[in-house]
Amino acid sequence: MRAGDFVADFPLPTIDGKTARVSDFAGQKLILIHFASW
Amino acid sequence: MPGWQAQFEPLRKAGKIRIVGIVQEQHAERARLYAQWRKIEWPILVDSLNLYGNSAVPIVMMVDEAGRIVRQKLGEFLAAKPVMRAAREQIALDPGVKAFLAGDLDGAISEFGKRGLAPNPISLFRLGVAFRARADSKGRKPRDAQTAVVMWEWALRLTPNQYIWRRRIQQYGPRLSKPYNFYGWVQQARTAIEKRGETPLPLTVEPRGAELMDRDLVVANALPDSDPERKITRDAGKLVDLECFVTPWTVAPGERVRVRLNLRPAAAEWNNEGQELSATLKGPGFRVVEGQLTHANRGSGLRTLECEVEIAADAKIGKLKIPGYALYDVCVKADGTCVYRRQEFTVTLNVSR
Repeated sequence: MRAGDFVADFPLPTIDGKTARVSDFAGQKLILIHFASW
Repeated sequence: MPGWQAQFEPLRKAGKIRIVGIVQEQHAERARLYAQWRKIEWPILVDSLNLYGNSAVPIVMMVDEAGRIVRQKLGEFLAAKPVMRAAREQIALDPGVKAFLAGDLDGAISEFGKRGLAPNPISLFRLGVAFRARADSKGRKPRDAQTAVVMWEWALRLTPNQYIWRRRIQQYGPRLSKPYNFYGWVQQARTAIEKRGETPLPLTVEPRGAELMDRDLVVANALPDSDPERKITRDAGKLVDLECFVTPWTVAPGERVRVRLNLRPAAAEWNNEGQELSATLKGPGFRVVEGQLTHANRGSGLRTLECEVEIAADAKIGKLKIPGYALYDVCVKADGTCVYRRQEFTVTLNVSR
């Protein structure tokens, strides 16, 4: 994903067992952090 | 991670930004425990299949109000005028991904596996994730854990710079193949959470063996051979379900692999007053160099044994079959009789230059 691209948008499970997609959080400035616990 | 929190939390609390995490991890609930430990209050999505295609983590992206990635200094990003929300394309998920996200692991394996004639690395990686997820579920099939490793290795051979995929193999692989202890933080987290007076969130799949292995910590080699004359009565897998897999599956002569044995009581329960569970690997073409193939009499569920095996420098190229057996003391559920039993297994791996 490059600058200017839309963030890819598809439903994913959340750690709380719900489902959400990045666009659910659109409308506000967003910091997207890709990480792992390892 | 704490560094990001320190940088972004004040902005989030001031309402200037939202934070969303996307975790690249096989086991979602480990990220949940991590979030509890670190007091992360923002939403975290789980991308086990690596749908975002990142080849490494961490990655921090600034995204404007419309959902577009921007490359700016943080101050400029925060000061920028709000952008109108734009129409964005909905990405259609492929049938394998849909099945996986719906919890249909058999369906996901079937869909990803359909691409067997024209394999691509992404499908192979995802196939491995689905096999591993099934290996960790009640619907597991005997070769699932091994097939996951084989698929991940295949994917990585085609895309060697994919460090997220590489981690999945390292997670179960030899001590020296991993850069650090991947899940050493789990115990630290539980202690800290309990100290706060909270209850740590449970893990459905507890990290074990290689997943907790410190690179610099050699576990003394304990390799009992308690039944060399094969006198103990066999259990064909009815009393205890035995699953074994090796990581990596493909190895060059002189290199190491890590062998894991998972034993789950089936028609029996562990006899915690009997002989300890033990296992042995015997045969030509390899030697066990470190590991603990005995297990203390504690608890009632899964018992894991692990060791590292060095393949002989003059090992033949091709399939290497390492025979072994496990000995255990169990009580049969049906009538409560306690018995000592032996179960044979074979670790198969691929020796290649």
